[in-house]
Amino acid sequence: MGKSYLGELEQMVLLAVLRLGEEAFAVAVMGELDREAGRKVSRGSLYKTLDRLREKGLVRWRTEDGTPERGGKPRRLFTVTPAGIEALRESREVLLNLWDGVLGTLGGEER
Amino acid sequence: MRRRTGEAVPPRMAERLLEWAAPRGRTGQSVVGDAREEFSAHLRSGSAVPPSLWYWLHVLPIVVHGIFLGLGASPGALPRVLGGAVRDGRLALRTLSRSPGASSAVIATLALGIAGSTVAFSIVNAALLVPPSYAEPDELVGIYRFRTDVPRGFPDAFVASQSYSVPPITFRDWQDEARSFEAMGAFEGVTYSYSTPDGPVRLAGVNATSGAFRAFGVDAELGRTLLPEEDEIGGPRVAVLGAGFWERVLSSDPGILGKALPLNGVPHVVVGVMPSGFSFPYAGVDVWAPLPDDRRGWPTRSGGFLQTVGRLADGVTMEEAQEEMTTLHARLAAEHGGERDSTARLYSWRELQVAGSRPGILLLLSAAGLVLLISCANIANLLLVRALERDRELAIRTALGAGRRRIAAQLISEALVLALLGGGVAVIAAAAILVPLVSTLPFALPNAAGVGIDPTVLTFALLVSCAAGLATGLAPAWRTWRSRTGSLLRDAGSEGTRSRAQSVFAVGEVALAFVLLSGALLSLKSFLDVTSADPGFETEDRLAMRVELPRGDRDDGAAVALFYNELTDRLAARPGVSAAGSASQMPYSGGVSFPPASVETRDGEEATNLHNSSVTAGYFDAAGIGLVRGRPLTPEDRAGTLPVAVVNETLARAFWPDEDPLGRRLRLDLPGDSVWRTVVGVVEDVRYGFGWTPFPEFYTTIAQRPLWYQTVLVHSTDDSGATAQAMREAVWSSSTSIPVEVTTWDGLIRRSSGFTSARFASRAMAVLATLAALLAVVGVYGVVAFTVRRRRHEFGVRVALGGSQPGILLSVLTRGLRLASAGILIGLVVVLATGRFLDPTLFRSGTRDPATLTVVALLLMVTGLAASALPAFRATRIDPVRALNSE
Repeated sequence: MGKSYLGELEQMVLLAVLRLGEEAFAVAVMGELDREAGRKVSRGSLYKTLDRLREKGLVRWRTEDGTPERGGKPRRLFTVTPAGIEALRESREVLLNLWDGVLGTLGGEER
Repeated sequence: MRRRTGEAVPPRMAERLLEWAAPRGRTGQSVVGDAREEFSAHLRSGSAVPPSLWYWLHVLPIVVHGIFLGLGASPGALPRVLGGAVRDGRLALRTLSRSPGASSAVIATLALGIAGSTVAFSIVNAALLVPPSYAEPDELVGIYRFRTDVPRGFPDAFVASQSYSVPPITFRDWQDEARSFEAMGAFEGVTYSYSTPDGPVRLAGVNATSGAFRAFGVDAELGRTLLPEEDEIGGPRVAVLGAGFWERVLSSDPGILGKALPLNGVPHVVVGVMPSGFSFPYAGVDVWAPLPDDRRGWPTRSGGFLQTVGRLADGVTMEEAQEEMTTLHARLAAEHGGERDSTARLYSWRELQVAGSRPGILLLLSAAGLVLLISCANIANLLLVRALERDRELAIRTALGAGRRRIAAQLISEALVLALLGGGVAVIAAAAILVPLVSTLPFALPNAAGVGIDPTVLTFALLVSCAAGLATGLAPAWRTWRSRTGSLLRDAGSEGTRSRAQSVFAVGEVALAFVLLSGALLSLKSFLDVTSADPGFETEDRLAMRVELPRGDRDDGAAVALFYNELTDRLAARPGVSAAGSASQMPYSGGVSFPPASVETRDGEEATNLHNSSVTAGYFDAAGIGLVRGRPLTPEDRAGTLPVAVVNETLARAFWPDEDPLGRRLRLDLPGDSVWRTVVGVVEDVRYGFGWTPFPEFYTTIAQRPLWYQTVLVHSTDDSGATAQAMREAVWSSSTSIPVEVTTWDGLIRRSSGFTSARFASRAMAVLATLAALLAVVGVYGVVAFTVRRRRHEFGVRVALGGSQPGILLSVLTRGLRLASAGILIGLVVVLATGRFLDPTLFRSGTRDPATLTVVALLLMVTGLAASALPAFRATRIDPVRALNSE
């Protein structure tokens, strides 16, 4: 089986979960993506992506008991697994390698 | 959606749907919880999107994901389902483009139905669903005084429906003592004259106390609203301007604050400009100002003129406030005589705003919904026929391995594609006709400016289109689903099921058309009933003009009387004018007033309320109100002579039955006007509004009861416009600061709300019913024509065997008639069962009128016959040789 790469949304979701730390609930992840990446993700796609990441073993979740604001419904707190962090690191390296030497062509500036 | 505890509860049905679509267990529960949490956040954000709508829009995409992609299902589900949908859609488009004519007809029919519903819904949305511009609308209430007794001579229903205004003393007692309110204010509608370079204009004004603005809780856009110290007698003369007036007349002058505007000739310092969209007590007010001193200082508890609005204090419910006001008002009544026989009642302010237009709007919505249903039935029928004709194509696809599920999905996809195309056309059409349509609506629509195609309306149109698509695609899909594999290819299904399904649709269409047609005829009949009721006065060749003297000229009674007497005398002397007069209260021109009064009867004085109009001597002639007994009012009834009155027949009958009213006395019980007046004449009753019955009324002369506002009425056969011009000039010759507008009396009546809403109902119903009838004809025609085509072979054999042409003709016509009769019967049952739920003001003559229902039934019978005539004729012309060969 070949190596599986992370999709763009998968990367973003993983990063958002990492950034949020102990606050990585679905609603917060969506807010983080909107705020930090300017990306409006539909709830359906987000849940779908999180499910897929879990199937790949890149995130896991535990449920917490709900607050009155949630009508007593539980909520899921997501964390990135070591495999997830490894996948992110690989993605980053692959991208950085590919970006190498391209900035001039695009007219961007080296930072 | 919000309860006082602060707990946010989303729409129950939407949440159930989400729970159903989400995976089982705690994972699914957490998805529902997330939605709850976001719903609370949405509520806190104070967004303009209605919370329940927001929740639905939020939940639906998750549900769609849940159903089609399977939240937590295997990753392969997505491409499979999506791919299927895309393939179906493409195939549907290809199939439909193969028969562009039929497809366009279907799209047009659906567009008709969807456009009608979309237009009706956008009106409902703006008027009834969009929250008003002020905060916490549920806390804002109107406080009204109602009579608990019925004064002699008045129709019960009329009294029950009329609140009467509150005097300032009563209002202040309410304001000081009631604990249930955070703020309470009183106001009175007035007009102000204001001079522009183009001549004087009349402004819509409201004199209000500062509490009214606090109750609404809306801040000024510029400057401020009224202050409590401006409520006091002798307070400064200030004005708050409406955004419309400020923009239109003052060119949005940003330096307007602090400037003095002459209103009624008196300078008022502008202290604020309200935001546009601020609607108190109705939209389009130009100026708000404190009550003038003479109104604030009104000395008695009788003769009220204020309306009251209040905002409930935190945590106080409507019921608690009502209880307090009932007790409070009863105590005031016991302490002071003036409050006898009245009670204070609370109404939700928002409800008051929409109550008047609700029946009309809902009628429109339901009629449009029926037309949509009929067009769906029509299309379902058409698609069913097409599916039958495509049996072979579908059978081949089945044989090549397509499952029943796929074929059913394809048929539904085709219907959905058609419906969505129809919906697109409908939205464009709705956007085009919406604005002109709203301007012709008879009722003052709350938030008329907000009517338009917004996201809510678009969502509605989308949902309606999808529903229409499903509704029309289901019948053919169901049929395919049920047929056994292979049977499609072998034969064309059983004749029985096919025509049964079609007949059900046709019968349904006729039934719906019956409902709409009877609605249309019944509302037309009500309209004719009201319009043909004798108003008691002549309306032809009458010109009317409202004149209000400037404030400075109002107090000198002799001068007021002289002004109006001279004005009407001068107009009466003009060539072509046969009579001219004026009256303080004129039928159909708006307000009625029932000041407290006393009448001398056989048993002594009786305190009551009477309608009173102060008139010039020429008024009865000008209005064509006939004298029944005694003499009319004359120019000789002057300020110094015996105070006299002329009463109407209802008053005479109510207070002096079987007695001679002449020589009897009555008086007003108003501060400064309580002189006994002797009855010198009796005149015919007049009706003051549409569908109203006459009430007890007396007339006084303007010389003996000078009122500064009058409506001048001129009977003129000259229609060149010269008389109208002369009327304007006659007023301006004495003062150029008085705004005047001349209309015909017919015009006044046609603008009155009762007339326009009755006319609107009958017109709207007529248009929709015609559409319904046309669609029903098409439906019946379609079924009968199809039957004839299917029975070609049989007819061919009959002709070949020497069957008579009339026999064939009859058998086809009978088919059409049978469909029509079944539809009529069902429609009749529906009308009889639902009629009593319809609004009585729009259907005055009741909904069980046998004559009307018979006419509708006959009409639809004839329609059914006409629809089957062409196919029947075709059936007789079948060439037996060709018919037999083609099989």
